[in-house]
Amino acid sequence: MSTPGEIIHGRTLAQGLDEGCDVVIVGSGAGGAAMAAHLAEAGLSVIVLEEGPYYTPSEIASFRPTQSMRRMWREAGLLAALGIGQTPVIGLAVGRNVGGSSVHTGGVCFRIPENVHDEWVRDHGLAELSAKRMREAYEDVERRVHVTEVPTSARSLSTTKFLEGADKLGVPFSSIRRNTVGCEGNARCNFGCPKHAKMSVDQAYLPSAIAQGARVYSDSLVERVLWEGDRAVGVEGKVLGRPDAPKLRIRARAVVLACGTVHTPVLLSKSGVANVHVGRHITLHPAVRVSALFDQRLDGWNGALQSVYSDHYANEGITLVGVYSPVNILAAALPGVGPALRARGRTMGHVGVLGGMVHDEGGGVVRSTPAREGALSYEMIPRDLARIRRTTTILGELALAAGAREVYLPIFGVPPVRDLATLRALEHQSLDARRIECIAFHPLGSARMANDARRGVVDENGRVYGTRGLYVADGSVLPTSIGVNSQVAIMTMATRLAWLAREEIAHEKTVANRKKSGSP
Amino acid sequence: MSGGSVGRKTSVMTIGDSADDRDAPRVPFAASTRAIVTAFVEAMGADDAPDGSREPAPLRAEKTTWIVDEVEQWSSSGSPSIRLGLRGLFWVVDLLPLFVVGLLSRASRLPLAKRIAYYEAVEASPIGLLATALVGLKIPVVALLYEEGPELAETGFDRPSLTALRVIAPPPSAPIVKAPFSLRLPSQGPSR
Repeated sequence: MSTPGEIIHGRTLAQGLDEGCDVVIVGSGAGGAAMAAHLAEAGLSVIVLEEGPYYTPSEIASFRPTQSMRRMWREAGLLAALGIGQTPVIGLAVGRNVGGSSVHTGGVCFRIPENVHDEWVRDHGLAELSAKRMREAYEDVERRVHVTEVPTSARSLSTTKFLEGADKLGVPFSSIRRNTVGCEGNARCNFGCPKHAKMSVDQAYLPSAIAQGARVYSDSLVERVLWEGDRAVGVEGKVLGRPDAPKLRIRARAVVLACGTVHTPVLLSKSGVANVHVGRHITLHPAVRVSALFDQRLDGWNGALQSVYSDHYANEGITLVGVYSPVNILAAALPGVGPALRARGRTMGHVGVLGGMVHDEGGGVVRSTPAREGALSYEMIPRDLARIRRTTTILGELALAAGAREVYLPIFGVPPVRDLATLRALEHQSLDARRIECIAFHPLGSARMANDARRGVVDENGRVYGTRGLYVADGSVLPTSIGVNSQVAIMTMATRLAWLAREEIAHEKTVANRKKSGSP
Repeated sequence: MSGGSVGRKTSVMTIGDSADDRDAPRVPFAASTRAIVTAFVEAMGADDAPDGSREPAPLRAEKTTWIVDEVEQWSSSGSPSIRLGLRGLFWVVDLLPLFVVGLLSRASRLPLAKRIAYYEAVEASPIGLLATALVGLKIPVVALLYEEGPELAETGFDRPSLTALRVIAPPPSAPIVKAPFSLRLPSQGPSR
């Protein structure tokens, strides 16, 4: 029997779990944790079921980067979207642990751009999603996760070197805002902060939820929603990490799915939700990075992993972002094998990195399979492929303007570039798109919000069309790509949904209790 | 009801095991697959020979074995599709020298210098999926190569490990604090 007020390792539950509550939330990431905190604070009994394991911040800080990937990233960090046609194979960095992907971000915090809000209102008829209507939720999120601007002094030399080039070319950059407290610039945000400085949701939301009585279980895989007619009345699944895989079953007044863009649609499908939009319209913000060798010693691993961004190319759907990685992860992207690779490895102290991502159209689909994992595919439209190649050129131009001796492009087998003419010629050269190294951190849209069941999966309040008592509160509900890092957007959306849902669920609880007691 | 204080304490039911104990059960490579992975790792981490000869030197045996074991554990942590996919990629890349560089041999049986040249040719292949396959194997192997030990040190990384904290120098304007009393060494006897 679990004790209230704890994160419980599901693998300790030899008898499985059979409980009841007001709200069961599937997933403990940016959306699920925010929902859990708000609903628990509103006095509802909440159980959170997280498929992934739980590691304490101290444990995470002790993991080597590859240990972090295989223990805490979905598919051990080897998840990729299969490219359809002329589309790169896109690696996806998605968390699978208590706290979800928020534990693996670079801490970058953006509100959704105003023009995206305007598009949602104007073109999608989602009046509740205006920037004005969501302001209060943004402010709540930014306070809870401690959003602050990264000071100039925290920038690494890798970043400032690229900014020299940006300055020469007239490309303005601004400081990024992040959710950190006491960051010392150890530059391994994606793999666990050794200073516990990042206010991921396991630090910013779950403690409050637990303090208000919520129970959070790790290693708990939900396999289907339970129904009475069209009403969701709970979930069932099994405990992971035990050979006997005991069953779990939670009965609830309301079910919230917050498994993320890749998994929420799989669970919806396996639970019998028949809607053509489930699993479709996925946007990824495909991203590329360029490394460059400089004469100056940079030691780019000293400083904030991400500290600057530029929306100078926003009208082309491109956002540039300062970025770095642990040195072993960066070295893995260098060209060459054996001695050629080892020679480049010895120059890592002189290598700077900058990245960029594309505000994409939405060619991703995730399909349910007999296995636990869904099958994710993505077809990049020609415009977005052109944007990816343009982003690579822009980043290379900044590097050369900053005095780079050679530039390593994210195109397999292309030799280092040393001059502008070669760089520009490469952008339009005939090239198999699957030679481009592309990664994505922000999958969105697979259960998108719409004002009509014929165009989406959930309504403006996150309720799944055609059902009662079933909500979705994660990145899958965002109607379109947003062009910026998505964790604040997801937490804000979940906050808004929680504020709406708590009234509905509390009312239903009151009505149910009255019925039970026989009072009018 | 208020909420949202920046609370860091979270009660956790401890389970008395280490993070290592919570790793996915290891699914060992078949001997034939292990030989292919070993040959790949050996070549990926090869370096110029210390005696300056033209033949490259393979990655040292101890590090090679460690990387192969780590790749094995890594693939065990994914779904069956990932495990099969990773093994499949190693085999596919091993079987293609004839079609890429015209050599009738499996890659794992090529002499080291030719093996290195073959993998580089696959990485540079105009066939995108082939290049992607090679890079898909290269990334975990090279990430492990440079994750610790002398190979990490040779990158110039200035900390003993990737989990060590950054050393932050005090600011240049830090005030010099004057001691409030005279310091005397024990050998100098009591101060007057």
